[in-house]
Amino acid sequence: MLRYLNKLNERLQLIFIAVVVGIFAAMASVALNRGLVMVFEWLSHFRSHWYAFVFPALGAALSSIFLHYVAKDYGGHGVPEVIYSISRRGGLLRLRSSYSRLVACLLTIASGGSAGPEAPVVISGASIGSNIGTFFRLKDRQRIVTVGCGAAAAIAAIFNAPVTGIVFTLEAIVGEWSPTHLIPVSIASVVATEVSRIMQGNQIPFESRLFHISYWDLAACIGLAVLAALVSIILMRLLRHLSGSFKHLPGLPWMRAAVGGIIVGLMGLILPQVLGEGYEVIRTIIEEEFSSGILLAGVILAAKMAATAFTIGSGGSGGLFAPCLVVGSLTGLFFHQILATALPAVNWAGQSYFGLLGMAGVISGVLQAPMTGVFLVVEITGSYQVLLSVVLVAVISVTVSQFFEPSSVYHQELIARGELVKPRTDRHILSNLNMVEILETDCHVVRPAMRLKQLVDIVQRSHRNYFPVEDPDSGDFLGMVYLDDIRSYLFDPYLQDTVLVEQVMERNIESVSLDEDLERVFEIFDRTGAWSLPVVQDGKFLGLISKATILDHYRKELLVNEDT
Amino acid sequence: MKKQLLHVFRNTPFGREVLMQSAYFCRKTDTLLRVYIPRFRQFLMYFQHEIATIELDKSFLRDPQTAQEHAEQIIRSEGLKPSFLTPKRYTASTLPDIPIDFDYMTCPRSISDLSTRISLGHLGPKVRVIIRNAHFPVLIPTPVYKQWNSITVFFGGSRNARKAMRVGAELARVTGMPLYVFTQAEGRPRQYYERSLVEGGFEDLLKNKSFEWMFFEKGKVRINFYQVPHDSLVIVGAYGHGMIKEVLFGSFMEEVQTVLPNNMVIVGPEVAM
Amino acid sequence: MLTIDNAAKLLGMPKTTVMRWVRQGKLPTREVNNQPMIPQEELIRWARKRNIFLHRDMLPPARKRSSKPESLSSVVERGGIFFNVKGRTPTEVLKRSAQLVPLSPEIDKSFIADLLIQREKLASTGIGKGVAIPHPRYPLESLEVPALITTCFLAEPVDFKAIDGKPVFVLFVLLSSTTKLHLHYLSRLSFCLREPKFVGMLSRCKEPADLLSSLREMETSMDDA
Repeated sequence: MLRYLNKLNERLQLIFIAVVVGIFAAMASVALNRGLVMVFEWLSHFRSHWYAFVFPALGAALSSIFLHYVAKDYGGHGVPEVIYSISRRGGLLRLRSSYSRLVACLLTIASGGSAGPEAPVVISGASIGSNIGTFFRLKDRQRIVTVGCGAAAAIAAIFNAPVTGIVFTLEAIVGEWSPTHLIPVSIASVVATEVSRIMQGNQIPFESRLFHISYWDLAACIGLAVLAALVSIILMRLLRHLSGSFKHLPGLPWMRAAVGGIIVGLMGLILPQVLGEGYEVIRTIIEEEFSSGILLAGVILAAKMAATAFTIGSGGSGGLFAPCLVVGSLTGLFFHQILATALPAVNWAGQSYFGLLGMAGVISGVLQAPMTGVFLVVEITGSYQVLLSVVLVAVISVTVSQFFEPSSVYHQELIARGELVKPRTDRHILSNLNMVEILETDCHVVRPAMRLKQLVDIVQRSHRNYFPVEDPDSGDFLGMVYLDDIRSYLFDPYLQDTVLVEQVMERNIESVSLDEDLERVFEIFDRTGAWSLPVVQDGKFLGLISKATILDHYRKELLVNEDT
Repeated sequence: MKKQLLHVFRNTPFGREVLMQSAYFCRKTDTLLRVYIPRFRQFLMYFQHEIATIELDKSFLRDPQTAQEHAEQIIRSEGLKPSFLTPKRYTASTLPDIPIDFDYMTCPRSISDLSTRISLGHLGPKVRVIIRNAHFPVLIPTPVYKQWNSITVFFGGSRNARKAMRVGAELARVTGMPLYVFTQAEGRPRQYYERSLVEGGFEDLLKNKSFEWMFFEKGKVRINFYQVPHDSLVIVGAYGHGMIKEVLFGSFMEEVQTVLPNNMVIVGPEVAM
Repeated sequence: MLTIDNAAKLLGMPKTTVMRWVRQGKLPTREVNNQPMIPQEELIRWARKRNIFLHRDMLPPARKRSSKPESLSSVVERGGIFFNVKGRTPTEVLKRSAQLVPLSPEIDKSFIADLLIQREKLASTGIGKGVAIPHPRYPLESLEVPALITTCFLAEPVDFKAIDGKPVFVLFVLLSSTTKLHLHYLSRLSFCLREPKFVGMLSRCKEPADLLSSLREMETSMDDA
């Protein structure tokens, strides 16, 4: 069958594989979902006891122990790894990633840690996609698509939201909207949604009622968007800050996770709403049953943010989608309470409406992916009538959030390491080329003791203007002779016999090594104004790289990257 | 361009022996020795079809303060310049990616399990993953430092054996050491092997009798192995016949690595011809 | 099927680059015995789509293209010999002649006519003694055959503004895939035309066989020389 598949047209082949990936990724999602419900119910018998506050600590510790000692997966939270794999590694992901985070996050969340199942599901789905792609012997370019399929399928299945899966993958993971990606990703997403519906029914997670939206509400949206953006900025900074400080704590990773868990458990004693993925909170807000004053809403909001930051920052395993949704709905609630108190005369559309918008605002602000926020909220609440307000909030929120935090949570880490390479950019092309490919080795090497006359002979035979000088004994690179520098006295017969190469060579030359990034090489080109640079490794001259050759390769690379 | 050998250093007496082996290999073959001193328990190698996750056993991380110093000492004692590899890329903050564009890599017989399991006949699973995926041959040294003064290629006529032959011939050329070719004729005539050599582009070697051919038509392989010089670097191709047959009947490489205590270079299936 | 080495030569890129392209799935690839191979026709199509130049002369002698070019007579035979080609201006006869060139029906013949007319505008291809050798400005890389010459005897002589001012009565339409072949056949043709015997034969020629046999005769004398 494999052989038959390989004969198929590339697009058909990808579509077929997308279906397979969709099915498997959906099963991973459903398994996690079922597992969460089961463990949660089993634990709920003990939740009323006084010692319940250690559950999150236990869960977090177990999850960390599982990751480090059983699955031996030292990776991070998942999504950045998927993006890294797509942007730099041709979509290769380890097989163990397909289950390790699932188990770890099951332990974290079911025990009460404040996190969501999405990031683990995304990396599982992506890893399933990657390994299925490898199984079918796909090349890098196509495997990237199957990784995207896996991620989309996982999101689609876990939220019963096919469009969100597609949009999230293209916007946040692949970073490119091209038909080659769109079609297989959509198919995987649809298949996964269907599989999840067959296995656990077609439910809209948070069904909302109809709203009466007035101009007042639309105007209020702008205020809510700004608030949501601020909340997302605080959440992102809190997360970064806490994971930074937890890394500096002494002790093994599982101990740190346990410390975070204890803190979350203690918070849960007072405010049980902050525990777990927190979908119950969203449900009550959407169903307008959440009764609290401004102050309480504000406190729960702050506590949920802190709990999330502690859970994930301390090394617990889990995603940000669900906490963002909860924080968002609380933000909306908080905003609604303020409005209702400040302007009681206006007939507001209700806490459900604002909760819903708050979710879109915070999720877009944190992921900096407005369309993902829009479609996620619309699909999980089934309220297409609010599309207009949702788009408004999402877009404003992203704009404000980007002003303070230039990149999304997923990209921050990669950008800091310089590993985020967006497709079809200059960096993408440069990152593809490597030094060995553009190295020119047809150079005439000269010795320092040569007379100018001998050099002239070599110049006549060579088509280059640069001549590397090597030490005849050690073979070390000493410098370069530039034809331009010596042209004027090259043919002076008197000088030809008296001047030695070492007297005319340039010694202080910037050189580059073979494992240098091309980006760095270009910095040197720009700074020195040179047209070509010697490549020197461990003191030995290997060859030249020149702008002309790079241009040739660069152009070919551009042409090759075209989809036709 | 100078070839490069990747060595993962472990700061233990055993690690010292292994590094001395690498250094000897590099000195003899004029190869640049690049040493990675691990800082984390795992590293990744992104091969073309698979990511190899190498879990190092704990001893690799022992006493990092003296590791670099020890490594430098050993390398300098062989008259080489130390060159250390710092990973540039990370899949996650504690998960460095080690580049794969080397020409050789040294692996102890086992890299993940405890280093006590270094007996013959045992190749750790991670070492196998590397051999299966790498486009470079893998040097598997003896547990104790042992110099070698000749090269022996195991040649069974297959495509992979020809790859091994190419590596062996190249090593013999740069080291100037004598080249032996070991062939156990499995019921095939000598012409078959000669033709395979010619097809592999070794006609000149064959004509000029540049190697000594240990050609065995009789006897058991395991017994004939005794004829391999004790101080010879053994080159053997791995996975020549397709995986299923290998799993069922074992491969020649397994036979060699179970019986011979020599230093070995294993030429995997992804090594270019 | 091309090996990576040959594909690299054809593309004029280092082997490492081509291997990377294969790995990244940017080149059409088939696996043969676990080794990536590149189908030649697909590569050519792939390159043309992307406007990537191929070093065609680097191709391995897959189609048994002998190192020695074919004889002039066989190229003339392949191109066909036509009589009574009508037209009163160079453009008209060139258009007619282009239609007669025996290429596969998918190829747009008017395209070839345009190429010939373009070249004619630059400078006359009439080389004197009533003979013209129309050809495109550049070698036709995509030509199905190495080269062909279509011979067209005109119904009435046409003024080609030839060097000696004589009206042209026969066209040798020369199409070739490389510059080298173009020059080869051009020089051979002009050698023949320097012989008064050959020119005389041309003016009397009524049968294709006459031309071909005369060409073969000329060629043996050329090869002997």
